[in-house]
Amino acid sequence: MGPLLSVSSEQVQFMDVAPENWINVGGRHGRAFRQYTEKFPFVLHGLSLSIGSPAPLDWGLLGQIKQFMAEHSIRLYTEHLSYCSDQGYLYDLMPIPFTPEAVDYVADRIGQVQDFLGQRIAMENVSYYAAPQQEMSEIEFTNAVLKKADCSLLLDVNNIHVNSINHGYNAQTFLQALPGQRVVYGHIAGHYEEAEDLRVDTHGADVIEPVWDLLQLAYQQFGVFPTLLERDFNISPVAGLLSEVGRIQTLQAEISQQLQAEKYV
Amino acid sequence: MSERPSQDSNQSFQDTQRAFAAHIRHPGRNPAPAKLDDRRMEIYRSFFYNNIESFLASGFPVLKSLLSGEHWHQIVRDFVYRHHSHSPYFLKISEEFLDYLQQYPQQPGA
Repeated sequence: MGPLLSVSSEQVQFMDVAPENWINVGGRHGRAFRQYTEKFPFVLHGLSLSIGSPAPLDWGLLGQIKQFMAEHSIRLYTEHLSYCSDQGYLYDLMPIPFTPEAVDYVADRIGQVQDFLGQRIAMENVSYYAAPQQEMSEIEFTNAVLKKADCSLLLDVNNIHVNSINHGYNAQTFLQALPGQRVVYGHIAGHYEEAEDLRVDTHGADVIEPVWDLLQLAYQQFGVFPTLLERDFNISPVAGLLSEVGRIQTLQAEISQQLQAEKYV
Repeated sequence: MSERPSQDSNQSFQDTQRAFAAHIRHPGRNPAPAKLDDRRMEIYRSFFYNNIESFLASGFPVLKSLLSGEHWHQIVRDFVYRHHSHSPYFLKISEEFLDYLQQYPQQPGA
């Protein structure tokens, strides 16, 4: 984490972390983390909530997340519209079957989490490679869950791009069908091209142009929202990352001006 | 791998989820849910296995170095197959593995 502490809070507007990697971390790393949470606004991006799992919700984890948010003054908890466990954790994301029964089940669990935390949470549209027992489309499923749970949306534009190729739909149409008023936060990332018709969401490469275009469309459609550049490995030097972060900020400024100008036309 | 689909028309979505997870835990013993492209399931199989294997490899470098590659992977696969990890924390995967070794001290995969 060292190289990032010299970055100013103008260059980086906020950071996000997986609570599962920082809860119960003390000592030197815990102190370093505290320095960051005092300097930058933070968002939690969880991995283990397993909101769609057949297993009961992990109230122990949720209790620790609630406490962690209070300790570090973190305002937003985000998670994946996915599941990562059966009778035990498997530590990666599986696709929830797109069925009406799953909508009811997942929305009810999101509601339980929101009641417990006393605030709305944001669910992310995830990338998926297979759609088991599909009875409705991804957009129908996603919108039904968001509406029924009355939760926020973490809009991941790279995942829309990846899914649109992997599952053969139009990314712009999908984006425009989402409930814009629920978008509180965005993710953008690079991915891996396994084949012409198969992309894998690795967070290990630079963002490609069609994904930048989708982000621009999202800002135009829904207004500007805070957006995080995700990069998990093949990490470029800070300067390279900041140029992509800078591009997000430039785009945000441009669209804000455009939207502002339209108001006065 | 078995060709028999594990899903029928009136299966609940949770049965499908359990079948999906079971397939990831042990593709050789548990078929994937019906109608899923094997090339795409391979992404899931490799993501999950490689993720857990890399946590164990960094947590138990000596054990890994003492075993043949084949034996190591046999143990990792058996861990993924049989063990129900209760910790949501990635750093605790090592402890889950120790629990597994205590629970199944005999020949792994047996």
